[in-house]
Amino acid sequence: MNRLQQAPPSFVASLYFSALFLVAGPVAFEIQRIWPFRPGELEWRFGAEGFLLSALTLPLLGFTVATALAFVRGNRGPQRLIAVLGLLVVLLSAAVLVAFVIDLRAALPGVPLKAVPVMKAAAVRTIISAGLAVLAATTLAIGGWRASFIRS
Amino acid sequence: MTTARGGYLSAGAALVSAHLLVVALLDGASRIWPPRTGDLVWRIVATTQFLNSIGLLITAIALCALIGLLSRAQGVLVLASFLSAASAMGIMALLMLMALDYLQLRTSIVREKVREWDVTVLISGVTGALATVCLLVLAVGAVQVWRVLREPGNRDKQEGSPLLVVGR
Repeated sequence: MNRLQQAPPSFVASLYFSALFLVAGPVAFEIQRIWPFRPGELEWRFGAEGFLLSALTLPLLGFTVATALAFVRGNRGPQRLIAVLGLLVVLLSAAVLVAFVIDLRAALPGVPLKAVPVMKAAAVRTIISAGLAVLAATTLAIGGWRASFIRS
Repeated sequence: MTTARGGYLSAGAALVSAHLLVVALLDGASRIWPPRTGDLVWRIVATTQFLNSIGLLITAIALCALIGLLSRAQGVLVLASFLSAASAMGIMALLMLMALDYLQLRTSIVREKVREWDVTVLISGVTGALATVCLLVLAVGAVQVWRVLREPGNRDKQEGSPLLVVGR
């Protein structure tokens, strides 16, 4: 840990940028997949929500890396900023998750009977993994915020 | 336990680890669903598909071990060690089963397809062997740290464990 605390700023900046890439890369890729936006269509909305919720793993890892890095380095300002941004993303993800469940209930009647079990299994998988990601990110954001007030 | 010893930060990291573990397992399962255990080709494809998502599993267990190390939580270290050892055993069993299945399948494949199957099975075998070694080393390492922490003199030392500070 001491080595990381004494590491040159350029090295630390590269780690922050790596974390940023882990967060922004998958999000950009998923936006590219769901472009152009058609929020009025149930089918598009449901698919887009599913894509976004399935892509939370790498951003969550990036958020973990950034929080841990800010904590170990004792960078209080960035730590608070990361915590606040993390909480905003958590709120957005939670809203998408709720919308996904609502749209799932609306979309299921239109699905052919044969495809219903597959769709339900995929939806359950998405809800479990996204729910866990939201919970983990919330805990990390609160932990990061609280840790930023501790004097080393 | 992590919450009590390391506060929200280590609990959050533990949840990230759990998330990775769940995603790895669900990803692996969804690729090979529905199960057809009597089908030789399905068994081989299932093993190769499962080994494709092994990176997430290793990351999850490594993160779990790291949390145990940083927060000096012995239970988390034991859990990480158990998960590593169990996963390594599981992968070894899968690799042996795949080798036996492939020897049986190879006799019935068309000659043009043999090379293709050889490469797929070889890559999966090497990936699985590397993952097994990695998980075994992780299991041994976690046990070693746990044994050091078990010593009464080391248990309460808190320097070098940043996550503990948050829990105070």
